[in-house]
Amino acid sequence: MITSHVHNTICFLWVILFFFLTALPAATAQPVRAVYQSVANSKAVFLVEVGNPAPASLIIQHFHPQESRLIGTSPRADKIDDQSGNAKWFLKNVKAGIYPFSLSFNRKVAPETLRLIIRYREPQTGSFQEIVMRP
Amino acid sequence: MIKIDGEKIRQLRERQGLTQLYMATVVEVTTDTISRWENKRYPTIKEENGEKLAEALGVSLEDILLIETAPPDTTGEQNDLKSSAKVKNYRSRKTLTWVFGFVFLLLLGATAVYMYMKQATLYAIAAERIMPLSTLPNSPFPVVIEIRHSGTDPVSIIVKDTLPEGSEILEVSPVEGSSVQKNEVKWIRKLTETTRFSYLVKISGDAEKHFFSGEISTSKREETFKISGIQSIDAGLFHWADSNSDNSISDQEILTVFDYYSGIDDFTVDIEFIEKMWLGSSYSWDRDNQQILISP
Repeated sequence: MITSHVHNTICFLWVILFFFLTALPAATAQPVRAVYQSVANSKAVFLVEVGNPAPASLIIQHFHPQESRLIGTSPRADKIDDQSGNAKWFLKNVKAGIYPFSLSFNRKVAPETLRLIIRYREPQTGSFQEIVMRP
Repeated sequence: MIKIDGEKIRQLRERQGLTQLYMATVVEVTTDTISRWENKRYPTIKEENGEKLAEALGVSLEDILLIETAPPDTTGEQNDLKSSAKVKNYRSRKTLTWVFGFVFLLLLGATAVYMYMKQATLYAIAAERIMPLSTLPNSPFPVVIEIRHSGTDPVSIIVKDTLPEGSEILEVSPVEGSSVQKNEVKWIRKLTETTRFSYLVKISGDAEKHFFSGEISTSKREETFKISGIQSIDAGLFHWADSNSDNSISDQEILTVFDYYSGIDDFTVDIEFIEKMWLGSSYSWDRDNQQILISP
């Protein structure tokens, strides 16, 4: 009788622990992710994936070598600074989905020289988040 | 009801030199009753009287309970088993009573907690003022009062915010249910969910710090809450979006502006101009011409 009670209690605690552990990654999962799709010759393409709930706005800052000049971006960057080697996008009224970005340079760029930073406010807590990504 | 051993009770009483009068007083019965219990071989009495009797004799209740003798054809071992079963039966009944009592109290407690939580869920309100920490003189800035209603019942509220001297309210949102008087803005509204009340204001005057105060009155319990959050703003040389007062709009600052202030309906916060400031390297306040200069 007592053994059965102990058994049931232990099972119950395991179930609680299981739910807690499985719910935890979902609660702490980042709503924004990014990945470089390709870096070939003078072109780089990266994807930004926005989950639900989506942040209201995002700032994407892409860094490239100072000796390379950015000759085109899609979508058009809000700010390009070739002197310090970076381009910025300010995305407003963001919705969940995948956003592709491409950059064309005047010369071949090495993947290891590229870097990407995404900044946003976490929609549920309002805390400022910064994600750094490399190819 | 329990059956007691009258003979044993008499023996225990006499051995301790106790009188029937003493026993009667302790058990709260008459001496005749005590006498009857002792003389009748196996009287049946109330359980609580049995407990008092045992207490008066300084023994446990089990010690004065009837232990039936075995019939002539049964073995002594069987007799022992039967007696022991009777005592066990009594003990288990007593335990059961305790368990039921405990469960009852537990349910009572749980019900009380549930009722309290339900009441709290029906009605839970908090108010916070969200606004910049500094602003330029005579330059409009937004103030948002966020009323968090996490209850399940709608509640009627009056939001009242009192502004510093020299304030001029330029826009309010929502317009419906609002009233603007000198240095005061009010809304009356039925609240079903978290709601934002906003206004665009500019402040003139020489003071360096300007204070705001506000309160929420509710229909429930006739309560009044103070609006928490930011209570004052500094008038100086920095744009309201420049929260760290470094003459430039950082990524974090533009994101904050956009998240907090851009979604206000019927409300003109000049986000585009702030975006231009963000795109520039820095800005400065031209006091003479009362305008902001942006450096590329």
